[in-house]
This record gives sequence, structure tokens and C-alpha cells, in this order.
Amino acid sequence: MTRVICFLAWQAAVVAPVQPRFADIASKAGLNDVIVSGGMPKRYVLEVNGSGACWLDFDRDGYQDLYLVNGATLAQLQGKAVRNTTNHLYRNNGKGGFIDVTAKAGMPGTGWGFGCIAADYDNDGNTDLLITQFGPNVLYRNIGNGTFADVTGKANVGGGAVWHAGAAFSDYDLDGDLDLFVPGYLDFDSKNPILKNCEYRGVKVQACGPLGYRGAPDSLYRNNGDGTFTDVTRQSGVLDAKLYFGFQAVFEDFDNDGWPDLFVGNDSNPNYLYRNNRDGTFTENGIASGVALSGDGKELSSMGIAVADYDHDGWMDLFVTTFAGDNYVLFHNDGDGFFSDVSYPSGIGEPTVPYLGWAAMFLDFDNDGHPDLFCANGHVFPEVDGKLTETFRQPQQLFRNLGAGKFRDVSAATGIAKLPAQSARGGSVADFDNDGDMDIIVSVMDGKPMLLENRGGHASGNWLRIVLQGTRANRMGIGARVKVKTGGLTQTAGLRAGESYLSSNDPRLHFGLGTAVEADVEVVWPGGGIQRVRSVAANREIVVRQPEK
Amino acid sequence: MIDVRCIGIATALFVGICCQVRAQLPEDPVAQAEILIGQEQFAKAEQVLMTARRQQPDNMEALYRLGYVQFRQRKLAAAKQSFSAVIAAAPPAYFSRYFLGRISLLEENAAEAIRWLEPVAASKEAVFDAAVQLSGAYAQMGQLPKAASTLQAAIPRSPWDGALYFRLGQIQQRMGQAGMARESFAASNRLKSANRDDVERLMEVSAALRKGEFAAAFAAGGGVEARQPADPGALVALGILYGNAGLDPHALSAFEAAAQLDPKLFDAHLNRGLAHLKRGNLTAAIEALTVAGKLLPQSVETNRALGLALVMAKRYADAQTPLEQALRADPAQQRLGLMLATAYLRTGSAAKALPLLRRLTAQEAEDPSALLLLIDAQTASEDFHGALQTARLARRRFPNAAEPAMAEAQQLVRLGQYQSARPIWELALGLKPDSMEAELGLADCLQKAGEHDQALAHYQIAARGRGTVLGAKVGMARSLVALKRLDEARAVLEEALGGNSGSILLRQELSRVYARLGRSDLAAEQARLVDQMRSAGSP
Repeated sequence: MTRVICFLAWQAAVVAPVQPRFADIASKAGLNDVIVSGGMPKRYVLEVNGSGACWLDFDRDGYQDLYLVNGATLAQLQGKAVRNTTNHLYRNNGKGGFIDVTAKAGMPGTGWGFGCIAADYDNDGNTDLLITQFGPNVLYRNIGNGTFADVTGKANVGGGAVWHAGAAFSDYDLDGDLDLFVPGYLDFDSKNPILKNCEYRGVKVQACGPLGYRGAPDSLYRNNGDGTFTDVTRQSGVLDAKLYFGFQAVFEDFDNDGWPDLFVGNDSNPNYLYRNNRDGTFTENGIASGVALSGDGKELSSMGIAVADYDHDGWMDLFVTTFAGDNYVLFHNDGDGFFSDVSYPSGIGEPTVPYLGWAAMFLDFDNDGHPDLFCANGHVFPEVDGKLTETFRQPQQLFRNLGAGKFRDVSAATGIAKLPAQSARGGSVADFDNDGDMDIIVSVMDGKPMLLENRGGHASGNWLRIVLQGTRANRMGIGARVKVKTGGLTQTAGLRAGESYLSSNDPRLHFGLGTAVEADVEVVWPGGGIQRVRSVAANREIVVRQPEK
Repeated sequence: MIDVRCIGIATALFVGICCQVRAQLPEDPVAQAEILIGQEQFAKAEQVLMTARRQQPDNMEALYRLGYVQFRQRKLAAAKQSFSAVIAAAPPAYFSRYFLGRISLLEENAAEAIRWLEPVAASKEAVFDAAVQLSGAYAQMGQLPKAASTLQAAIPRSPWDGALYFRLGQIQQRMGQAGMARESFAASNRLKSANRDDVERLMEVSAALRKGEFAAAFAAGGGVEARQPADPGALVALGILYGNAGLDPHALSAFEAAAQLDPKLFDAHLNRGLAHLKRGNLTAAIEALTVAGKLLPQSVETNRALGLALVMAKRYADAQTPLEQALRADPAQQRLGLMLATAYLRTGSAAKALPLLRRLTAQEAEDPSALLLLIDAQTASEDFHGALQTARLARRRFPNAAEPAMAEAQQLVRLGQYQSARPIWELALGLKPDSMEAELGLADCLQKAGEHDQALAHYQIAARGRGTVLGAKVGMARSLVALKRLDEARAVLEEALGGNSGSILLRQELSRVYARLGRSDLAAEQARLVDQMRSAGSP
């Protein structure tokens, strides 16, 4: 009897509600390089969009490594100054710290970097990396020995002299390999940039845009399965004839028909939602589906995108960060890929109005089974400081999912609000220290990144981490739909490569289980096939490998 | 009331007393006194009146005339006593007040003179030259603008009186308004050399109009118009008399005739402009006032009237220059300032409107117009927080007015603070229960809170308002979709599209509803139209 009581007391202690808090340990962890984005003052729109952050286990040691993209200066771009910054690959040492191995790995980037996505495009078991840039992209193939090779030319995914933004990989044609979509932002003449003088709410600013510029085209590359890609933009129906300012793309099966659809967040233009027609083509359906614009019919300055089934109804919902003065938008998937703007009823609308948002991530930070929401904020105009209530550097925000479709701002309670205000941009989530709770990396424009360690999340609730290994499907299982059932709760998650803002999340799916000590897992693989694993014990990582047949 | 019969000519200053010559004095002491006054035997008249006072202490006519004869003998203290007693016993006694004012001026107490004369000048009574005396008192106190405006107000009552114009010219000269002074002196000269018959006819017209005898007035006025050649100055004076009596077509006719006879006659163009403005003939008013403005650019009245006409004609850019000139001459004029601010706002010059409105709102006002315009200017400048502060100030100053509450709620909505806006919309609705705008605002807040049934009820009411029907229909459709009442949502939107086929918002919502109803073809068609309309820059 005493033993039972002790066990129960121990169990209660383990899962007793603990308030997780976040602390910035970037410096301690060795992430001390400044992320350049043109420098100060901000004279051109090129200089204000920052760059991304990607998690990938490049050396397959079980720990997520980190790739931070770096920008440049206009002078460097014009060849008037030597580029003295690079992107950074930080190897996770497994002890809470990182070591810069960029040079050794051979992946410094080749220009002004913006986004990154980590994905095994050639299905060789090693995670590769695509960097989107101002100008041609770079595809680094992971050789498997700690180094990467620039295979952009061979792969044919450079994309030419276009300002490329937040890309995404997925197997849109379900042929077993990952295809690539890269949105184009705008046509900026870096050789002869025009200095614009505009007004923002009565304040004179210079780095204005994107309105007033011509947009840049989007591109869809179909993976040929041999290390090369073919540009199928036109024939697939994602041409972007209107040349909207594409910022970030996400592949997800929004209508639950088993085929990945494509959402493109456009800045100051209607968003695109391309429905997969299952024949290699897409049909754009943004307006009819309700995600092209806000619920008030306004065009959004869509920056970052987060996807999750936040209310556990089996349909994947969308969250988009926007410009200051507009609320960030939570689009609830009402079923079959039709969405409603529930920003205000959910409690997210009003607190986000004063801020300008970029990276956005759903993460169950307290392991209670409900995906919470993190937003990275920061203004584009330094000139606003002292003149408006908005500020250039802004606090970050964390919203706790209360269930029943409601969120509450817990930035203060979790220490997020105590962090120094930043002009943050890219960001992604990962359990970098493998302690069972989700941490956050935030790329800071013109500053050092923030690595927000989750302290207490793993003690706040049980968890389960799922690694997918495709065989007939793409090796990483990108596009798979995973359900985790515990008691009366069924959580649904999709594995994506490319999300948030210019970034990639931990490819291992993390589920908070609350007080549940075991769960049933169901994996629906891209291209078909359902795999179930029953009664998986909590607080561990499992690998689900797709059967060969 | 003292009955005054007047037969004097235009230059007479003290037209108030009949002149009668009789072979012998009547028995009535008041009548006796009148005869002696006419003979300027003031001392004898005083004795008669004092006897009458002793015999009939309540005889106010005797008392008033006693005061007058004492005044004429410069027995000022005694005169003051007599006039004061008349005022005390039979207020308002404007004529007695007039003489007390005159006494104050003789005693060099202009401030006291103003106190006596202001109510007299403001009354509808024709009391000697009260306006001239009051104007003089203002001028002595250095209040030149008031001195000028008093005379300008008196001119319509006696438009034949050249002395008024002369005094006005003097004041304008002192104010540095050389052009205006020249015009006033010219008018004075014209009237001095006016045909005596015309002057008498004008006085007949004035008297007849006062009694409401329009036929007699037209008959006398016809004589002025029929003269060959007609005197333009007299025609203007005639027009002024007709205009004051509300006989606008006749006034306009006289002004037009004067302007034709003398195209350089400023008063003719100014007055015809004013007459057209009064009748709502904006194009003609603008034409006439523009001519007047070219003849006398410094004329505040012309600039003010022209500015108003241009604002009414929605020619906001053109209105700014005359309004700016008028306001420079008279910065305290709130209405003028508000008109100019409106003109600035309507031409996208919120930056110009802001300092003007800040100045205007620093003054006390009877209504919240200036504050509401300031909110508009701040909103146009995207200073939403500033606009919210101003709205809150407006609500504090005018707690019983609905408009400040609605302005505050609107600003809160602009800042995304729907939760805070909701009770303010409710308050506004309480203050103005028929406000469709408040109904719509409240409905939107309820929708944002996810309270769709309640939102629907308010949208249905708001849909009755012409300015709110579109927003209400869209709102209704959204709530119906949220409540999964898709067919009703479709019906609402299709019906609304009938009168609003160019609305992108409606078509967007309709596309969504069609898609949910499985009509992807119709959804795609609406989406295509939306795309087309956006490309074409539709609202």
C-alpha cells in the first residue's frame, strides 16, 4: 500500500502542473553571431525582412542542429564591399550548446540569404538544405560525412535573379520524392536601387514596400527522382500571373483528401490557396475558401504561417502574422478546406494588433495536448521610435491554447514578455535538448539570435515524440498525417518542411499528452497506407518506419 | 411704449420728435412740452414737465420728456435720474437707455455707454442712431472690429443712411482696411448725392415693410426702380430692405439691376451673391461673389460667403483661399474655422486641418463639431491613438451627445479593441436609439465575440439604414455562415447584390458561401469577378 501511495505521489509530482518558462540561452549555447540584414539605417525594403532558422539533424546523432541564414549589405551585394558574414551551421553538441561548423560543412551560402528548409530531397537518408536568396537559391546536398555540396546547378532549382522568399518542400504528386515551391517576393534592382521616401502614419520612412514595386514570380519544381528538378510552374497552375508579393509557402492537406494543397502567404495581396487537383495541377481557390483575405475582407500583409489542428476537429487550421495595426489572423478550418476568421473570438485578435509579426509556430509548450502559439515580432521602420506608439523592437508573444477554441496571452507568465524587445524575424521550434519539451529559436535582425529554452514543459505534462521514416513515401515522411489518441483526445498533426517565416521546424513530431501515460498512434503516409502503433508509452521518442510494401 | 413719429431727412440725427406749431399751448402738459421742445424752449418745457410729474407721478411719457429736456440742457445728473426712473418703471425703455448711453459717452465712460447701448442696438426698434453711438463707444474702447460690425449690422435697417457708411469707412481706415474704407466712403458719397425722392421712397418702403404693408412697399420701391436712369446705389439699398423683409426674389431683382447698371459696384455684386446663396443658387452665388471678391479682395464678408458657397458646392479646393482670408481677418470665428478645416479634410490636407482644429477645440463650444472634425483629421493622418484621446475628450465634454460616443467606439474598433468598443456602442445606442451606425458597430463587436445570434439581430436593424445596409448585409451573411445557415446567407447576399453589384466585399462573401454550398462553379465566377474588380481598382 505504501509503495502504491509513493508511486502515485511520484506520478502526481511528475505530472503536477508546472508553469513552464522560457529563458534565452543563446549566448551560453554559443550562438553569438549577429544576423545581418543590411544594417542601419534601413533605406531599402531589401534590408528589413530578415532571415530564417532551420532545425535539422545533419549528422544523424539524434540531436537537432541549427542553421541560421544571414543577410548581407547592399554594398556587398553591389560588389563595393567584401562580404564578411556567412550563414551558420551550428552542430548540437548534445550538452545544451552548439559549435559553428559552417566552414567545415561547406555551406556558407553564396549571397544575401533569406530562408532555409531542411528536407531529404534525394531520399538518401541525409537531410539536405535549401537556402533561398536574393538572387539564385542554393541547394546543399548532405554528403553524409558532415559536409555538404552545392548541387544547385545540377538540381536546376537556382531560380535566377529573383528575390526568393519562404519555400516549402512536399510530395505534391505523391510519387515518393519531395518537390519544391519557392515564392518570389518583389523585383528589387540592387544595382540601381531607388531611394523611396514615404510616410507611415505621418512618419517619414524610407524602406517602404512592397507596394510600389513589381512582384516577383513563384516557382514550382517537380522532383525528377534523380537529383534534378523540373520547373513545372506554368503547367501545374501556380503561375502567379498577378505577381503577388509571395513571402512564405506551406504545403498541407487542408481538405483531407490525401493530397497536399499549397497555401502561399502574400504580402499586401490576397493569399493563395491552391487546391491539389490530384493530377499534377492545382486550382487557386483562396477567395472561395476564405483565406485570401481577413474576415473583414482586407488584404493582409501575410508574413509568417503556422499550421496545426488547434481545436482537434481533424482539420488543419492556419495562422498568419500580419502588419502593425492589423490583428494576426487565425483561420479555422470549418471542414473540406473552407475557413473562417476566428481571430477575435479565439482571443488572439486584439493582443496582436499593436505588433508586426513574422515567425509563427504552433507548439505544445506545456505538454497539455493543445497546440499553443508563438509569434516573433518586430517593426520594419526604425523611424517610428519616439514618434508613434509602435516601436521598432517589440516584445515576442506566446498564447496558450485553453481548449474549446480559446487562447490566452501568457507572455508575461512564461517569461517571454521579460525578454529584451527585438526586431525579430525568422524562427522555428525544436526540442533541441531532447528533454521532452519544445524550445524556440528566433532570428533577430541586426542582432544575435534568441534560443528560448523551455524550462519546465517536460515536467508540466507527459509527451511523445514521433520520427517518421518513409520507404515508399519520401524518406522523411513529409506530408504524413499523424494522429495521437489519449483517452478522449485525438491530436492531429502533419509533417511539413518549410513553415513559420523563412524557416523549418524540428521534423520530429512532438505531442504533449498531459497526464496520459500512453497513446495510440496512427500514421497516414503520403500516397496511401495507414500504420498504427498502439499503447505507446509516454515520455519517449519512437520511430515509425513505413512498411516496404 | 413711447410713440415716436418721424418725418426727418436722412441726415437727421435725432429723428424722434414731431414738430407742431400751434397758435396756443394745449392743456395736456405732455403735449405742451412737445411744442416747447419743438421750439427748443427746453427750460420752459422742463417746468411744465416737472409740474406734470408732481401731478401725475406715474406719467412715464412726461418723465421721459423731462429726461430729454434735462439732457438737452446738459443737466446730466438730473437727466440720468429721470431716464433711470423710466427704465425701472417701464422696461426695456430703449429710448431712455439710448440717452443714458449718450450721457455716458459725454462723461467719457465708453464702457458704461456700451452697457446701455448694446441692448438698444440689438433690439428691433429703430432708436435714433443707436448703432452709430454704440460703434463710437466700441471705437473709444479700441474694439474696432466690434465698432465696424455694429455699423454693418445697422446698415440693412437704414441702407439709405450715408452717415453709417461714412462712420464705417473711418473705422475701417483705423483698422488698416484701406480698400474696404474706400468702398465705404464711396457708398457714403453716393448716398449723400442720392436723389431726395429716392431717399424718401426708401424710407417709405422701410416704414411699409415694418408694418407688413407689402403693396405699399412695392409701390414705393417701384418708384426707385422706375427712375430713368435708376440709381444703382438706391437699387442696392432697396434690395437690402426687401431682403431683410424676406422678399428674396424682389431683393435679387434689385441687386441684379444695380449690378447691370454699374458692373463695378461692389455692394451690388456682394448682395446679389448673398441673395443667390440664400436661395441655394450656388453657381450664381459663386459667380457674383467672385466678382465682388475681385472688386474688393479684402472683404471679409465676401470671402466668408464665397467660401461657404464653394463648400456647399463641394468645391473644397477652391474654397480654401477665400476662407483662409476671411479667417485671417476674423480668427475668432469658429464656424469659419470649421468650414476651412472641412475644406482641408475633403482635399486630403489633414496636416493643414490639424493645427487649425487644435486651436478651435481649445475654445469652449456649444456642440462637438470641432472635436469631431479633429477626430476626422487625426484619423486621416493615421494618428488613431490621438483620435481616440480626442473622442474621449469629446465624450467628457458632451456626455449626452451620441456622436462623441460613436466616434470613440469607431476609434477603438480602428485599434482592434472590439471588446472595449462594445459598451461604448451600447451607450451610443442608448443616447440615439435610431442610430443605424451604432447598431452596425455593436453588431460587429458581437460578431467578433462569436455571439452570432445577437449580432444578427442588430445587423437586421442596421440593414434598414441606407448608409449601413451594405455593411449590415455582409455582417449578417458572415454570422449566418458561422451558424451554418448557408442558404439564408446566400439569400441575403444575392439580394444585396441587386443594388450593390460593384461591391467586392459582397462578391467575396458570396464566393465563400457558394463554395460551401458545393457550387464551385458559382464560387469561381464570383472570385473571378472579384479579381477583375480589384485589378480595375474598384472599391
